[in-house]
Amino acid sequence: MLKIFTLAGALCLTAAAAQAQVDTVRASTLPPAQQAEKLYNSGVTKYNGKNYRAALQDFDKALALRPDFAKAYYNRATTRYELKDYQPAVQDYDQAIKLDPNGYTAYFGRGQAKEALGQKPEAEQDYGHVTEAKPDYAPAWYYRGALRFEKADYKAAKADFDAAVKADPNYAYAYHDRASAERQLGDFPAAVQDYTKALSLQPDLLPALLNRAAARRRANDPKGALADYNDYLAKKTDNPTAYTNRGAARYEAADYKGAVEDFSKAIELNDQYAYAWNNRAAAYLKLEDYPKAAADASKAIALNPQYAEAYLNRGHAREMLRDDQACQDWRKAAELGLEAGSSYAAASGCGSE
Amino acid sequence: MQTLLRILFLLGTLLWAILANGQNVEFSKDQFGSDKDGLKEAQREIKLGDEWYDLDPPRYEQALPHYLAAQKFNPNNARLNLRIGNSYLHSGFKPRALTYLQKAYQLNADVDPNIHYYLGRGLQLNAKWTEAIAEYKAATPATSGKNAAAQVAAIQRKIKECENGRELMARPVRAFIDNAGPAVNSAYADYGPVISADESVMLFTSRRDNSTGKQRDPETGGFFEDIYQSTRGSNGQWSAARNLGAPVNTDGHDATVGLAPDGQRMLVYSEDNGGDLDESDLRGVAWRKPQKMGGRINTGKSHESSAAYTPDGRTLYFVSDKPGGLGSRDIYKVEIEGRGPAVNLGSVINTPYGEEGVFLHPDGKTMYFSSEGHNSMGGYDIFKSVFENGKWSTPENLGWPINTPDDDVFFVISASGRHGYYSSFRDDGLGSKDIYQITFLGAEKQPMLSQEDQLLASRIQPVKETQLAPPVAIATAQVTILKGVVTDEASKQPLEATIDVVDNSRNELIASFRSNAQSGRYLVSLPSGVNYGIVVRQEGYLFHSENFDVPAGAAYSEVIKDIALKKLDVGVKVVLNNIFFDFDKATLRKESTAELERLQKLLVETPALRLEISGHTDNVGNAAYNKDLSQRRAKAVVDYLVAKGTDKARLTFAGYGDNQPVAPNTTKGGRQLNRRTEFKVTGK
Repeated sequence: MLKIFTLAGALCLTAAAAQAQVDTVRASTLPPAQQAEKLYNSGVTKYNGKNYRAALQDFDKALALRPDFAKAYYNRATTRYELKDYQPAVQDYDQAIKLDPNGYTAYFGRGQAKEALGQKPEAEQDYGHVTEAKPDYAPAWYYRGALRFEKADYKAAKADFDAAVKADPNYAYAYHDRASAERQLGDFPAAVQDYTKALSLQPDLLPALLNRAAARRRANDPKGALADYNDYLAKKTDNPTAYTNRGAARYEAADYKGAVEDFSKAIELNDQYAYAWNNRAAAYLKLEDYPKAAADASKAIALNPQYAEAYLNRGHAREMLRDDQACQDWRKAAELGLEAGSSYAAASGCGSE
Repeated sequence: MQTLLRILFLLGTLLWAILANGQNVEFSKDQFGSDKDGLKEAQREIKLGDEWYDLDPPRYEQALPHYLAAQKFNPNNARLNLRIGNSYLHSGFKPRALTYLQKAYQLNADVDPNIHYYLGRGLQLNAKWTEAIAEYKAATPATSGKNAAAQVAAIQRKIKECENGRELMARPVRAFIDNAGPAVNSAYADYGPVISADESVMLFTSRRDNSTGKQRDPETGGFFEDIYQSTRGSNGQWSAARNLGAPVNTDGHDATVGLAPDGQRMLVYSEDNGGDLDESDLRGVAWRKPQKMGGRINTGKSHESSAAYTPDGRTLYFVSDKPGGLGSRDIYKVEIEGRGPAVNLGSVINTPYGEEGVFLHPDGKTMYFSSEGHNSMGGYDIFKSVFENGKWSTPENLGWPINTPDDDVFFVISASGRHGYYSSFRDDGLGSKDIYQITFLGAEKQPMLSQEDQLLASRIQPVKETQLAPPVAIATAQVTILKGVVTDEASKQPLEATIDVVDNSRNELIASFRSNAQSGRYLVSLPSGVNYGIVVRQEGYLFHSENFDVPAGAAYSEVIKDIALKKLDVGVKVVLNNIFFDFDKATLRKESTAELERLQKLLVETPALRLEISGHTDNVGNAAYNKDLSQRRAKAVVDYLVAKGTDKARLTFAGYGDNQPVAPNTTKGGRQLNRRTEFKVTGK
């Protein structure tokens, strides 16, 4: 996904470079007083050649000659962003905005840099500014939507994604993320539809298959879900999460043996993946293989000592193994937030402490 | 050519006859000429077996060893296989009948006109429901007539049982069924376990070889019944069973059928008058000689076989076959100290078939009993019914594998609802019938899966899907068990005292119990839904009061409270736990009436007694305000007592606020203990 970041950054720069190119033509004929513009144009060329360090030097020199050169600030900020120098990038964007408050690209760029710095409320504000200044600029809607999604404000996120696809009807990511927002809001049929749209716009957006599968499971379409998982795994065989999630779907369809196979495959790909161990424990419980269930849950707990579900599952296994430590496990699960653990302990004669 | 065909035809017929009849092998010289001694011995065993088998009524269990000896010599005789199968059908190990009956049928399809019915029984007892139904259908007589109609009805009932069994087996109950182990069970018959509510004591009946008198019952050949006791240690293990000895156990049959929740009263079955119920109580460590329960329970020559106390000890539920019931045996209830007649529990519980083995849960509303009717899967099954809103709920079969196609009777359950006990013939037994402990596991506990998805296309970080934990059924037992030891505060010695259980809201005495004279132990069951005042009293001591407000629906809990009684002496303080005020006020709530009357009674009975009534608070809030509130509250108590006629001069009042804490104010429990009303003896 980082790739997409770069792409989006490059797109912005292209927009800026389009204006800069006009200057390039003129600059070649200009007197020495126009040296700043020349350096600027040279920086743009180097940037497009991904020669960021050299580009940076050119923009530095241009700005030393002409400190009120707004475009040079903007381009240096973008270059610094590429070099992951986010804080200096923000400072350059600040300058660009100060010198040219009417543009929107510097706001968007600053939003990206602030997001990279983890300053999410500030980033959201910058994106918001762009949505007002230039409502047909889809990425601003999209990135603000993503931030709102991360705040679990799914309704607001969905509204932003709505605006993003309105501004750009071919925006696969926006459809994808709107589907995720719909899924979080419990509207599974709508989610399935949007994931499908995202896939039709960008067939290599494979996570959409996994997400559509999950939404189909919630929309009571277990067959469709399994078909999506199978589709994904036919294209990409090294993702332990995909195996784990197909395993969970098989588990839901009461195919516990098939579930064990998938969780085992996930463990084979990544034996540090606690979810796969925990889920295999659950499937072994259903298969009434309690020693294996207890062992797998223990492994999950070893990988993540705060794993409430794994304690709960190990409690179930230990109860069937006549091991009194079941009580401890249920209580630990409750302590970690799974309230059901307390009820299990109380209903199973665990005593009062 | 024709001769050859005829010979072939004859040979064919012969072969067919042999095949159709299997290979029935007679106990004859033709077959066993080479082993005359063996044959003679086998024939002798058959003869001995036949003598028992052909008695009226037949004595199958005695016939069985002889037949099995002969079977070793020749396992392929249809008649012998049939007789072994039938003997097993009437033994403890009924499922073993099937292979012999099937063999008998295979050796000779005409071995007995009732063979299909027997096969049906054998299959049903092995829980082979569908095959059993087919055999029962084959056994249904074609002819009509009075006798046939009864037979048809009986077979229809068996078919229904198989259908019930098939249905119940499809949704088995999750439970561990464990042999109670060699400390309890013996190689002989061990059965009829009864337990105290907290499972600390088990009494049961056994026919083992160290019975009192060491004599065998001429009827059955087994040792006479005696009552045994085992206690459960803190590790959950049962101690070695101990014979209760005289006067409870006699040379004849002595069987226990019920035990009060506190383990201090026992119900005993005696053979008198066709079967009677007696009662014995525990004095220290000795059970007293059982006494007859009276004519409202033991009627005429009828058979009273099982009984249970309600948790307040005031009502008895019992089983009787007396005339006027709805079936062969019915369940009745009667107020022990009252005058009214025993009442039949009615048709929701009692069926046209037999009911047996009644048990009441300490929650006071759940009854367990066995019945041959309802949706039994064969013989007696154990059922559960709850008395709510003035009626019994439809009995619910406890389900497979607790219930089996054979008789499942005399089931008891702990107050927690976690453990049941009953006896059963099982292949993992120590011989004959054994006592088993059932651990109820409740509904299947659902495992929880985790999964995550990359929900945002522009983010690598996956998001964990939040799952709701599945709902959990709360514990069904709605009762609080309060137990502990009563002692003399000064000497620390155990004390026999009376424990009154009072309904504070209704100012009504619910029940009275005695702590054990030797150990001072007591146990009371407090069904949910009542604000209880618990008063422990004994002559020469000041009463001790505890409060247990157990709201309706409160789940099972066990509270241990040791109580030290104080002798009446100047300076002694007693906390009045059952005096309640409105929040932040000095107004006495009506739930306080019982405690106030108790205090009033103490003052009347002890004319020289002078008391200081004091109020105390925790350290929450303004100290001056607390002191004032506690003083006003103490005064309210004094005013009540004076209004009821106590001389004002005998009473003083004081408010101490938080100056005299009895517990640290750092915990909720501690603060609760500090908020109290108490009295101090200032003169006597």
